[in-house]
Amino acid sequence: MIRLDSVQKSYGAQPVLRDVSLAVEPGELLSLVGRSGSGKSTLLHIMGGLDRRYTGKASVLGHDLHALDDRGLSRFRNREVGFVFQSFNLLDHLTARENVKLPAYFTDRDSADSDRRAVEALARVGIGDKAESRPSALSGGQKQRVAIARALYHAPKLLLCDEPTGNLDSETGAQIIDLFRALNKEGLTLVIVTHEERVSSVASRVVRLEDGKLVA
Amino acid sequence: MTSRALFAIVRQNLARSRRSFALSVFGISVGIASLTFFLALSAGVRHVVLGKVFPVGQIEAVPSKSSVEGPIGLFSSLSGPKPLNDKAAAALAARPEVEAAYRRAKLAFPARAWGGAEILGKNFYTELVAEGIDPKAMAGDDLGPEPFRDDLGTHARCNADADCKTPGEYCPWDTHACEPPVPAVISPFIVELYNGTIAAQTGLPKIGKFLAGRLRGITFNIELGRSFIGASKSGVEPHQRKVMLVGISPHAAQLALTMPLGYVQKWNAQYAPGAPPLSSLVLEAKEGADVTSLTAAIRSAGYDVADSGAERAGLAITLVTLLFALVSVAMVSIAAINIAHSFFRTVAERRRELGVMRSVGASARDIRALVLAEAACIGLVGGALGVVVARLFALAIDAASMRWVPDFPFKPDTYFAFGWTLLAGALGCSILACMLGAFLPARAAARLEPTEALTS
Repeated sequence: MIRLDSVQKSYGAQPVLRDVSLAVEPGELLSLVGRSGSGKSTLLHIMGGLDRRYTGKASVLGHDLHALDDRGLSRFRNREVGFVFQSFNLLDHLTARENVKLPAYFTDRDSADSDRRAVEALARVGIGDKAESRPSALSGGQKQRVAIARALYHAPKLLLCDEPTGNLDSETGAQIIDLFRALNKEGLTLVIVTHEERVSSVASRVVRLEDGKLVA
Repeated sequence: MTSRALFAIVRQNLARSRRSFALSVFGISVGIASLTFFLALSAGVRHVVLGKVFPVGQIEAVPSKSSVEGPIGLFSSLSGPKPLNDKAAAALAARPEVEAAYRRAKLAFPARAWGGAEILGKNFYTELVAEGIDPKAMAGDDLGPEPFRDDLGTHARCNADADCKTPGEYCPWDTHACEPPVPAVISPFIVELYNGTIAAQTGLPKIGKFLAGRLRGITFNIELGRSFIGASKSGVEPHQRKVMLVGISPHAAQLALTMPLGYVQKWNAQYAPGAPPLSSLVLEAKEGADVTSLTAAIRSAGYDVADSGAERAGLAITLVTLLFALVSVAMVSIAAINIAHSFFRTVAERRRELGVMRSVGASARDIRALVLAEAACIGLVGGALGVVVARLFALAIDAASMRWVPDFPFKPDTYFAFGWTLLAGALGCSILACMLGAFLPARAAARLEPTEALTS
């Protein structure tokens, strides 16, 4: 599913990732842990094709990400992976339904049932009744569910989550973790960047980054 | 991204930033309204001036007044200008640039005219300024009731009008031959001059379409060889003739009564034996672009081109248009710069949002298209608004002119010409200006790295 070979990245003279090699198998729920600044999010962005400025090789879902041009990478992000961010990254001027169907706008052909699919995705994460609500009217947990529904819109094989419970209270965070576990049981591969133990406790494997190096 | 998706996102973006959208639209619409207004005004004025007052594509070749200075010029002026005769006219008419050629001859002796009671209520007396022209010049004109043609020359003998059996014919006492009235036409210029000055000054009715129709067929008298100022020095006794107005034609001489060439040449031979056979030759160019080469050909043949004023009028209109168009273009440019500034700000404000779009599959090209499409929408709405404002402003000016500006020759119903090309061009210009303004912000947005945008 994911194969990283000697991935390195630095910001100027400051190395962020040092010779990271990692393999993630289909159906895994991998927890990537480490302190702030250890390079977790950077590694996640590289896996998702958001960051191309690295050395080494990153092969995800059979794609050599370095070999893809901007259009190919965009299609990869649109169709094959989903992202969930700590700060939800919802567009405030859109309803939950419109936020969820955002990936549908960036496909090559019009989809007549995008609204229906968006509502179904919202129902799948348990907030089908909030389809017409704007983010400002939703709680933190609901916002994160909308973000997860958006990530699931195109039924990706891989879900990449960057501190998904970081902005949630413990009860809501637990609900989101349960949701991830349920999605993983359905066969979805997840890589979750976190520094919370409760997230790592449900992971099938935990990988630690320290100063840009994989230590376990 | 499909165009439908593009439109949907642009609509959402414009809907949430109504104020910024309205300001950008206002800016561009002011520039476009100004540009459209001045270009329409220029086109309208050009249409009147060069279409009616000075028809373009027509050149009048006249005998040369020597412009050579020094002894050679003195010699050539003493020998007189090169006369324009039928042979020279035929040579110029045979040039490949020429669509049609009409010979003209001015009435070269004193004459006067009177008449008009049947339509204006009283007779008017005037010096007669007349010109003869090839009848074929009027071939396409709607004239009547009699044709505009030369005297056919076969006349029954008579002693009095009653002897003439053909309706309309009369018996001049000098020829004792039944003759039809001489057909004559006047130019729209004379009608405009009459309407704009004489009618206004004297309270006489203006010649509109209705009265112009009634003018056709009215007859009046002319006296050849004598006028209110003087008489012909030929010694030939003055004679009277009847003239019938057969219509108004743009091909008629601008400020003279126009009659068939044969009549004028015959009368000139009687009353002004030394007069040149032709006073000018009107040449119609096949294409507007041929005018330059035709002008050169006329000059190289030893003749001058009569200065109709068209060239200067056209140049003056072009220069004034250019000036106002430049001001308008400057306004559009300022609007475009404002749009650039506004879009740079928007891109900075939406940085994170652009990152989200990139994370869900938007390519750099999609992001660029989004910004440019938004700008195009502003251009489209601003352009349409500008065109409407220009049109309304033009209507207001036309209405004000109709109501408050006194009549003058060739006063048009409208000073503006809003052709489809102009309207489409204005819209295109508006969209282009906005897209150019948004080009750099769009490029900056497209170059934004997704990770940088998401972490901003």
